[in-house]
Order: sequence, then structure tokens, then C-alpha cells
Amino acid sequence: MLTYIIRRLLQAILIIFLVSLIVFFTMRLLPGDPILMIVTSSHYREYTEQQIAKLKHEYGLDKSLVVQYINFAGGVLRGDFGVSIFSHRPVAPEIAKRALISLHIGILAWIIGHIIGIPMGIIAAVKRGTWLDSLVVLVSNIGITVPSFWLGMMLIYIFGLRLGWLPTMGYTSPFDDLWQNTRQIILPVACLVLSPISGSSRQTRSSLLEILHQDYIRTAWSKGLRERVVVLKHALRNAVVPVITLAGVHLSLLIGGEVIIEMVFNVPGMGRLLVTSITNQDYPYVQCIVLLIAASIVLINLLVDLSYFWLDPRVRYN
Amino acid sequence: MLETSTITETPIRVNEFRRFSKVFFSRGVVTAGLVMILGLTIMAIFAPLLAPYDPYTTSLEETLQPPSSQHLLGTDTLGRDTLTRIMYGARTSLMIGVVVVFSSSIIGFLLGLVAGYFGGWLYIIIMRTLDAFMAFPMILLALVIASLLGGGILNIIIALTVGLIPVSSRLMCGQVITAKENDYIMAARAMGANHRRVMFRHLLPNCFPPLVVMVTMVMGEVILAEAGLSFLGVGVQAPIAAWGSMISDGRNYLLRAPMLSFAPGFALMLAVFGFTMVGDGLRDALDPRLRGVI
Repeated sequence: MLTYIIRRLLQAILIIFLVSLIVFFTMRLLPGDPILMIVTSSHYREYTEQQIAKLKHEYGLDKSLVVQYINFAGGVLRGDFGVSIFSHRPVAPEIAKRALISLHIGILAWIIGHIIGIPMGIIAAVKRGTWLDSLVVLVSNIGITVPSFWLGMMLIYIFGLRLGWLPTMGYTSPFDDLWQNTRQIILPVACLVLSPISGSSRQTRSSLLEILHQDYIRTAWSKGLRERVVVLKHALRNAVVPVITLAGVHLSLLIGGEVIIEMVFNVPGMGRLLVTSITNQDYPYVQCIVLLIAASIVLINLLVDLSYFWLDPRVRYN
Repeated sequence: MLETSTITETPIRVNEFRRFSKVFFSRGVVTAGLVMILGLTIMAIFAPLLAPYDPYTTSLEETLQPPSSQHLLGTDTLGRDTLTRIMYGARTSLMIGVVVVFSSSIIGFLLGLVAGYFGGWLYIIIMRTLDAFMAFPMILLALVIASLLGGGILNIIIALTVGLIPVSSRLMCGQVITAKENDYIMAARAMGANHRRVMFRHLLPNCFPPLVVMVTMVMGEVILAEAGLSFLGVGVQAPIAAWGSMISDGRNYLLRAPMLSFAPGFALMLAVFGFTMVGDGLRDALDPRLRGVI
């Protein structure tokens, strides 16, 4: 077991290293010159050749790619994520601030999605073939096909503009004004919650259906146990393992969705920062945010893999 | 005098195609999905014949018209007919979807085939690199690549293809690893077939059904991702009609002309729904566990 954990840990480190290579070289090899952006963005003065060369030197862009990568990776390991090309301030504090906002909304959506989705899956599996089952399947099918940004705009139209019940944009810190914060995040969370709802209900339904046919469940029935006990105590424990496995996949989808949803609702989260940095070609921000997202997905997947030991005793004995 | 009659017991032959269509069409939503896809495809191919107006002709007297008998879905900020632009948008979406799915499948299946068949170092190098790519949400990877390349249809196609290659090659690799343990692979090797022949003549056809399902399902995802990128403004550029940018264009006119955002989003939803449902139906119909049962 220990060897497995160590091997899995080394694998995660290797993948994060590869991720950093991908991020770094994608940013450098594709067209688009950060120095050119600085030069063209300043309207006040003309840059001479020497000044451009000096700027390149300041940002370390005159060195070879390998040296640049080592500088970049070394900086990241020391906690130095670079300085914004535009504001000249370090990117890390700003990203940390924005990441908290995104985490707040994202985790809320993830939790609510599972709280709704897993019971939906259980009901569908137990009442297989009834109208309840069809309803759950239909809802989860719609959940994966509705474009979240379009849904967001329709919700803005109905609840924000027509009915005037909810604010349509912005984000207030819950510590400043909890009520306003709740009102503001209802719509974004409602859009993001669809994908975890349909993902977890589909997965719960199909794995529960498979398990309900197994011998030990028949044994549980024949012992005269009540349905509630058979389903919730005997079957669900095993059925929920694949649902947890998909946590990483859901997280990845959720982060992707959040980038767009933050644009729709003007939430000043990390996704919005990413999109605005991309438009401004503020590379240090883009590089750092993308690296952060990818690294956290790798870590979540690692945690999911390791949680097998805790969730599924069969893995421990093998 | 006994007449000897030989009773030839013919095995119950199940017509594969009939079995397939029986399972496939047994669910109403799947049939509905197929109808949606066919409708969109026809709309996309024959857009110039079907569309009532020209998608690019602007008319400043007719901006932001509500739906009427002249303009069934109204007009946009430049007076262009929304229905016409949705039809041309179907063209853009389906074209990008088909090209992306095709190119990423070819590259991805090849990588997966090689990694799964040869194993060893080749497997480790290919699969670990793809694992690293899988750490990025597809839309994020595509967003960064597309914006660095500078938007436009070609760059969107490149960006989404890169985003999809890991998905298709991982599936292929898993299939090949299971399939290569079969006896017929060993038999083929023993008969002197070289690696290339084993891979393309024996392994590939046997891995096909799950790949067909994946390709269909992914088509919906690609269309959705393209719309998302166009919505963010790094996708298909104006004046080409694309659903994502049409939804985004309607953003500031939600109260005056809600149809501007609603209609293209609805078309987008139908398209994604269609491909997902057909993929679902294909999975059921191609399931080898059902072979011979129905």
C-alpha cells in the first residue's frame, strides 16, 4: 500500500512538471510578443531599440528558452509567480484574492450538485422504469446539454430584468454583506450546479442499478431487511465509489464552466481574471492561473485515487 | 424403410442490422435526437436555399425587430435576419465540429493504438504526456491556445483538436490493451503478420464500437465548446454567423430583444442534445453484451 502511495505521488509530481513545461512552452512558442504589448500599450513615449532590449533583459526574455524555463520554475517553487506586465505588481496576491471568490462559488455548486444529484440517482435506480426514473434521466440529459452561459443569460432576463428579484451581476464579500452575497451568487451557482447534478445522478443511477443485481443484495433482501436498509446501507456504499472517482472530472468541468459563467455574471473571480488577462496578453497572469488550475486538478485526482483505500476496503487487501 | 432425414440445425442467425435498429430506435429520445441532427444537417447544407435572407446584408432601418411574419425570429443590431443567421450558424458549428472530431480522432486513435499495442516506454511517454494535457479543462486549454493564435475558425479548430486528442487516445489505448490479449491477435502474429497489419487489420476494427460512441458524444461537446469560445470572443470572428457570438451579441439587448440570445442558444441546445442522445442510443445498440439476446 505504501509503495502504491509513493508511486502515485511521484507520478503526480511528474505530471505537474510536465504541466509546467506545457504551460511555459505554449506561452512562449505561440505567436504574441509580451514586449510588443508593453511597447504598444504605452501611449506616452516612443521606445528606442535600446529600451526594448533593456525591457527584454528586465523580463529575462533575452535568454535561451531553457534558462527562461529554469528561472520560471525556480520562481514558482520559491513562491514567486512573476509580475504583471501591466500593473507591475506581483500576480500571486491578486490571484489568491480572486481564487477565493471562484472557490466559494465553485465548491458551493459542487456540493449542492451532489446533494441534489445523488438522491436523484438513487430514486431513479430504485424506481426503475417508472415515470420518476424517466424524469430523472430527462433532467440529467438536459443538464449536460444546456449551454450554461446561455442559461445564465436567460436567468438574468427572467429573474433579474423581468421579475427584478435578484441582482444580475457582481460579487460582494460574504463578510461585508451576507444577504447581498447570497442574492448575487444564486444565479451563477444555479447555472454551474447543472453539470454536477446530471453527472452525479447518472453515475449513481447506473452504478446502483448494477449493484442491485448482485448476490449480496439478494441476500440482504432475503434476510427480510427493509428497502431503506438494503438500498442505503448495503448498495449505496459500493455505488458511491465511482461517483467519488468522477469528482476530478466534475471539478475540471466545473472550472471550465466557471470561466464563462464569471464573464456572464461579472463575478470578479479567477476565471474572469484569466479571460481579461488573455485579452490584455498579460502573460504572467495567464501562465500562473493556468498552472494553478492544472496543478489543483492533478492534486484532486491524486486525492481521489488515495481515497480508495479509505472508501473501498477491497483495494486495501489487494 | 426409414427415411433418413438430416436435421440441419441452423444456428439462430440474428440480423445484425435489425438488432441494431431495434435497440437504437426503442427509445423515443434517441429517435428525437437523430431527427434533430438530421434537421440541423439539412439546414446547414442547404442554408443558402432555405434561408429567407442573406446572412451578411445589414439594414439599418430594420434593427432589433421583434419576431414578425417577415422576420420569424426578428432581426439583430445590424438588421440582419436572426433565423437566417441561425441557419448559417449551424453550418459553422457542424463544420467545426466535424473537422475537430475527425482530426483529433485520427491523431488520438493513432497515439492510443501505438501506446496500447507496444506498451513499455512508448506507453509511458505518450500516456504521461497526455495525462498532463488532461489536467487542463478542455475549454481552458482551447481558450488559451485559440487566443494566443488569435481567434478565427482555423485556430479554433487547432485549439479544440489539441484539447480532444488526450480523450480519444486514452479511450483507444484502453481498448487496445484489452483487445490485444485475445487469441486471434496471437494467431495473427503467429501467422507472420507484422505489427502494422495486426494493428490496423485486427485491432482497430475490434475497438470500433466504443470509438463510434465516443465520436458522437464528443461532437456535442465540441459544438458546445466552440460556442463557449465564440461567446467569450476568442472564437469565430464577425461577421461569420456562429451561435456563441450571436448569444453574446444579444447580451446588451436582453430586455428589448430577448429573442436575439434565446433563439441561437436554443438551436445550440438542440444540437448538443441530438448528438448526446444519438451517442447514448449507439452505446446501447452497439453493446456486445446484448448481442444474440435481442
